[in-house]
Amino acid sequence: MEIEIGTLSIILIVGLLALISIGVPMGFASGFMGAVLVFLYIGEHALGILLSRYYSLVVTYSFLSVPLFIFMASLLERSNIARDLYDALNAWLRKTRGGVGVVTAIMATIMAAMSGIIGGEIVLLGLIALPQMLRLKYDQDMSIGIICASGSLGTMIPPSIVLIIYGLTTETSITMLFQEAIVPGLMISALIITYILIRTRLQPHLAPLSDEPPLTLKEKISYLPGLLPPIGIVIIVLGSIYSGITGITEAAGMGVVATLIIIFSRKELTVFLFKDALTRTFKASGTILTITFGATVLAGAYSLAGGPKYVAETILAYDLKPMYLIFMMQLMFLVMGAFMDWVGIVLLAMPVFLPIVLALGFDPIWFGILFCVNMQVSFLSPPFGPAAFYLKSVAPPHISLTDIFRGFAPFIVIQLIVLACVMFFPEMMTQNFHEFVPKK
Amino acid sequence: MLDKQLQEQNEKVASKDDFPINWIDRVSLFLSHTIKYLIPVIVLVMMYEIFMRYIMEKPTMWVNELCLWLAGICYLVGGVYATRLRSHIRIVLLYDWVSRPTQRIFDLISTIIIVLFAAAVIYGGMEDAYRSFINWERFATFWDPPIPATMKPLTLICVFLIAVQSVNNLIIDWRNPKEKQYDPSKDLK
Amino acid sequence: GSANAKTLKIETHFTASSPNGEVAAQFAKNVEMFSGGSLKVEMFYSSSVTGKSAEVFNSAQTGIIDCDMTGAGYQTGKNAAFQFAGDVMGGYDNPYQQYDFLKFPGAQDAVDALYNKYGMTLIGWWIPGHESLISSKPIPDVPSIKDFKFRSPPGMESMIFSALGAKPIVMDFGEVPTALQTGLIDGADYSSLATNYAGGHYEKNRYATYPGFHSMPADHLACNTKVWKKLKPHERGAMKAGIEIAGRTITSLVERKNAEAVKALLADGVTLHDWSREDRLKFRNAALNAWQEWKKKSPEAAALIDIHTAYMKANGIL
Ligand code: NA
Ligand code: NA
Repeated sequence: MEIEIGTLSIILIVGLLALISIGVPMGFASGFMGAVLVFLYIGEHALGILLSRYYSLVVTYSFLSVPLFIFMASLLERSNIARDLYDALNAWLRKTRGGVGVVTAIMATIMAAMSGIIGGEIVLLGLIALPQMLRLKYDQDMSIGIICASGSLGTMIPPSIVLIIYGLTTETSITMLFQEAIVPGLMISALIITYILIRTRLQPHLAPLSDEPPLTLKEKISYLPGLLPPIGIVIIVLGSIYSGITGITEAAGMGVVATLIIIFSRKELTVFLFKDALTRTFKASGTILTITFGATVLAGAYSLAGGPKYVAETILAYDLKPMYLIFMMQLMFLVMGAFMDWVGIVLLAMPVFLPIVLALGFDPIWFGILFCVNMQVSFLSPPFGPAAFYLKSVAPPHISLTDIFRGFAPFIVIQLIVLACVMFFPEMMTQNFHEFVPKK
Repeated sequence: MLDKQLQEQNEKVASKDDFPINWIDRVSLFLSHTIKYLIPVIVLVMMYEIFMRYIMEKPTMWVNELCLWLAGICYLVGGVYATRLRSHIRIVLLYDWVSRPTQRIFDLISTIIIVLFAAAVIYGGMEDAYRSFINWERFATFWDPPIPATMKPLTLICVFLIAVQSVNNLIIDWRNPKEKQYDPSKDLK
Repeated sequence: GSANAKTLKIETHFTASSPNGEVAAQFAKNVEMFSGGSLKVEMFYSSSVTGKSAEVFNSAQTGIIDCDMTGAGYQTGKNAAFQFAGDVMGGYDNPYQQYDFLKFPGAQDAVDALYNKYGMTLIGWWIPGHESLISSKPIPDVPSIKDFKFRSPPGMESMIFSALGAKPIVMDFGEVPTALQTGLIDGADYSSLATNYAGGHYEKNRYATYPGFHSMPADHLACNTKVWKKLKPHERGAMKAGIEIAGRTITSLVERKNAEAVKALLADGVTLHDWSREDRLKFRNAALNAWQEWKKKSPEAAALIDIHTAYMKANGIL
């Protein structure tokens, strides 16, 4: 062991930042740094870990819903369904400042029950809502923030792969985790809506009202059919899951079929539209897989080099009181969340954090919800912010990654507020936390 | 003088919203525009499973793994396609700010990193992929498809193609006034 | 002395905070102690290096890590014989018989022949015990599992249950909790009674089989043969003793945890089905038929199945 793991951690972060700042694609930058890490720390024979991680990711079942959601979203966006939906919303809400933004956030919260992973919802909203909000002259930063922050709720509102993996890792009740995640999830959603309403009233230019005269009720009603196709698709996807017809991933497939049928019946389905949606799906899936791979290889390499032990020793070195320890862990999750994807963090940190959390007598369900809210932040925090990547993979090319991250700041604050609430006032979140009593 | 000529020439190319294409691009394009049709196939077999399980009450033993397999192929080849379209996710804050000659240096470094990365994946995974392929390693399930035997070598092939495509991009973009992302719909006739 | 101590990198699929993870941690400490400090173990949990439990064996083969502490069942895609170094389905009544099997003449040689073919060596097993089925409808006997739509682990188990008229469903592990909630499946083969209880799966699904009979996956410790041969004799002894103790510990621990879960579940009104001797025999016969199919898959499989059968006859199980 020539190089200390602490030094190596710094080399890793500095090297990574240097590479991505000069524009090296992030997936390759982190993949390369992962390779450097194992090469320096273990030796060339350990480079086999790159293929192991690549292969493991490629055959991950839950990932399958990503191309399906992208396909569904591309079809909706290429047809006029998305446009009609937002025309209808605008018809009803043109004189309500921020109204379309609020409805988008509400839709995202409902759709969060359709998908268990980060990404599916964001591409859906990114393709459907973003162009329409920009068309309605909503501020770009704000639109992006609404879409990514409320789209991330897919992993907070059940079903959630984050909670499932946490439950499997900690052998805690996934049913309980699902129940307990709802209130904090809705709280994030409610705060996002409150934020939209307040901010757009302070700075009206962020969500301009239409100059056109208000519509009569009759005119408004004539716009209502525009709402039907999207509502129909949501009902089909949610219905497939909750009536036990399909699994979570298959439900995304049902969504694709429902979308195709609706577009066909509207006589909008052309060969070009189909091929174009397919090509975009293919491109976006390749983009997403590559960047996700970069993050997972980094986690594997860091784990092999003894990262978890280093993290544990760092945190225990301070000899803190239980609640400060939890606080420190949240800080470390936030730091790790900036550079890694959540699966990497579960695998790296949980083996060292959880035994400590349990030994201190904390409720593992509560800790799981804390973790889940914390990961909401990680989806948005740069430089490795999966929500931004998913949006970027489908957004118009003129919207850069920096543009996307710029819109996130206020929404990260919202997530941190909820994180603090779950941490310090567990009893106000839900009844089930009343057993939360640290033993020491 | 030459630089200016080239710049004009390339701006013309760029303004046509088209771009130089050589045989390497053609290989990527051919692969991508063939493999992408696996996505609707995934949807189809998935619907077949739902129909068989929910309506016929005769669940299949192969749909789940076939979907996994096909999707894996899509992600891997999709990575090559994304490379060709220059659509891999990157932070261009500094990149957009520096001069074109500096951008070329950045591009050169990027390409070297990608090539080194690919070399590391291939060097490190060669033995494992070869072993899986030669032993026709299967997925250890009832249907037992040869997923490891095919996907591990395919991963290495696609990583190799990504590296080749990156070098190709560097050569083509070197003369361009500015690197640009290509719109995938331009590929469609 | 510990200055030139060697460290083995060992990867397990268990999480650090699970009972199995704690036993693995104790194993690491024991190895260091038994070897007089000359051999250390660095344990990686949750397959965190490789990323996928089925690939950990490969990582040890390639030398990324030194030993694989998952289970042989993941490797049946390499060679069907690994099924019989992992989950001898329908075979043994309890883990102690399977531990004893390795001491039966010819058994160790047959297992070694299998592992060595892949550059690996089996050091030993640690077996948590029988798993329990979770169900939303009563499954007290063989006839009741006709048309039972349940998530079944891939491979031999699906084969046996299909033969008995059940409808196994292939489904990703991560989809099971939601599928159990929504009623997409009638039940699942998930884990031991205690683990299923901890996972909260009995809130919607009020039936379980206990004591289990259908599946008893053995976890193994298998090392890269080159690494294993380089160890000094006393270090190998430390590893062997370490895994033996881990085996006894986990088996008794899971028995106790299951007993605790039984109390809690009965108090909660969950029905536990204890299959009768006749029904267990029916299951075993279906399994033995599947074994005959399995024997055709590889010479190593045939050899191992023959020895298992011989042991079971000698022991009076058959
Ligand atoms: Na969700
Ligand atoms: Na982040």
